[in-house]
Amino acid sequence: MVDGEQARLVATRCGHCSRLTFPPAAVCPQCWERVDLRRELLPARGVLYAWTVVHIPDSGIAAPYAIGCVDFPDVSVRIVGRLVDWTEISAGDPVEFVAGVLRERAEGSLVGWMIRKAQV
Amino acid sequence: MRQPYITGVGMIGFGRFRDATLESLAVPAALDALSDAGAGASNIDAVYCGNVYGGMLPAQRIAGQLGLTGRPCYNVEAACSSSAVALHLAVQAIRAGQLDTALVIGVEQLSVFGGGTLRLNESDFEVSQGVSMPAVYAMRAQRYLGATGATIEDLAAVAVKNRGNGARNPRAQFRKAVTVDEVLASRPIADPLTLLQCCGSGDGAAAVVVSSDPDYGSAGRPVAIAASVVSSGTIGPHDLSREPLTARVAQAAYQEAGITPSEVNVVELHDAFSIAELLYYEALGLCGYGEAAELLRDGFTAHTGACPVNPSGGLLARGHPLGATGIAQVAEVVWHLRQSGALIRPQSRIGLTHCTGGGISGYDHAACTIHILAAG
Repeated sequence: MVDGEQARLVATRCGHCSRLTFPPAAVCPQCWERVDLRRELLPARGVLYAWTVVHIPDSGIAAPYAIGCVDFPDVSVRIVGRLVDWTEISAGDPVEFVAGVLRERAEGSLVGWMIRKAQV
Repeated sequence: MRQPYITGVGMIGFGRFRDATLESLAVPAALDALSDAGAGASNIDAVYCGNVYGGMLPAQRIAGQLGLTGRPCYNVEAACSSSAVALHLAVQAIRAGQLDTALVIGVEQLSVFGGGTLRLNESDFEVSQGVSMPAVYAMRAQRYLGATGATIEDLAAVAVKNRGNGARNPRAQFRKAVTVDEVLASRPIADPLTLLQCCGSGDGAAAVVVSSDPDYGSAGRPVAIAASVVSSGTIGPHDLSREPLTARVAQAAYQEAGITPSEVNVVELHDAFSIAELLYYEALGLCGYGEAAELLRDGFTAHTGACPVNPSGGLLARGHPLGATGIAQVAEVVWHLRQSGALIRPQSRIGLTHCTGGGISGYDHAACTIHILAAG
């Protein structure tokens, strides 16, 4: 994954009861299926449900930084993540995911998904 | 099923005691509770301890210094609900007739970590993103203000009330009254929450003696435990402007006690952040959805109001040493009920304590505990 490159998040779909679980699970929490769990991409776009700017630095994270929650119209999963940029974003905006550096530390960077306003 | 009573309570003044140990914090609180109950070592059938960050076997370490060895010791961890869950387990054992009298301790020493926000588990995938407890509550506040029309001044008014109450409580860690302007001008933590709307980091200990025999505890009127309910939250997208876990646990607790919310005379609830108190007024049924700010403005929950909420100062001012909080709330409510008959609160008879526990992905809250206490 390249920093800033659009990213898709992977969940598991239970072949037995159809439950979608994020992050990917080894056991379906609804029916306890352990074998028939298929990887499935979450929708590329979601909607920013809530967000806040945090003013206290965390280990490997400079302040201020923004955290938000993303919901999807037809999927019962909520994704929490950092916002790439929060100068022109509001709750209710369509958003997508990109690869980004979450924490910078001497022993190495932690890379994961970040949230940005959906590109037209 | 036997009826458990709180027969003795004890609590140290909360603060920051870096040179203390978990044992040196807990022992004075336990001795005060034992003395208040008039209980000797031979009366204590079991020791329960709620603690989060203190390492292995705190119950045995504290019991060893009190000579309470050679009996069951239980260590309970449920984040901020730890010692409330410990009390719940003691209540269950007494109800079932497995023991007659237990010592329940809550203790925490957060000062050893320095300061700042709570250390959450970084292997948790939301925590790895930088989610902190203030950020979680800030998003609740964003949704609640947007949904109900409550304002940042309403949030600040929670801190003003509770810090004002703390200024009158000799056991509170923060004993300075503040104004709305001071709260809003304090440094931003996670928008819209400012520093004075967040509980601080500190140390504390509290203990209770819980017994099937109400004649223990000549020091005060016996206080019966009318309800003790514990549950965990659920995973999934929740409406952050509501608190379904607390609402569910409260409903079960009212049913167990055979009362309605309007019969509660005093509440100590989990105001870790200003927004939490407004959400919990509604979840506890003190008012309807979207009505919390008005309830606060009307003075209903002031220390002189019809139902004082957090008259001790709450987590915001009394302090929030995680494992100590659940039992500290019970001790404060017992003291409040024992003072009933005084001018300010002529007829307080029923008190409620509520704490939650969170900090892991997905859940609305990981734990919630409610006790309803009834003075005889």
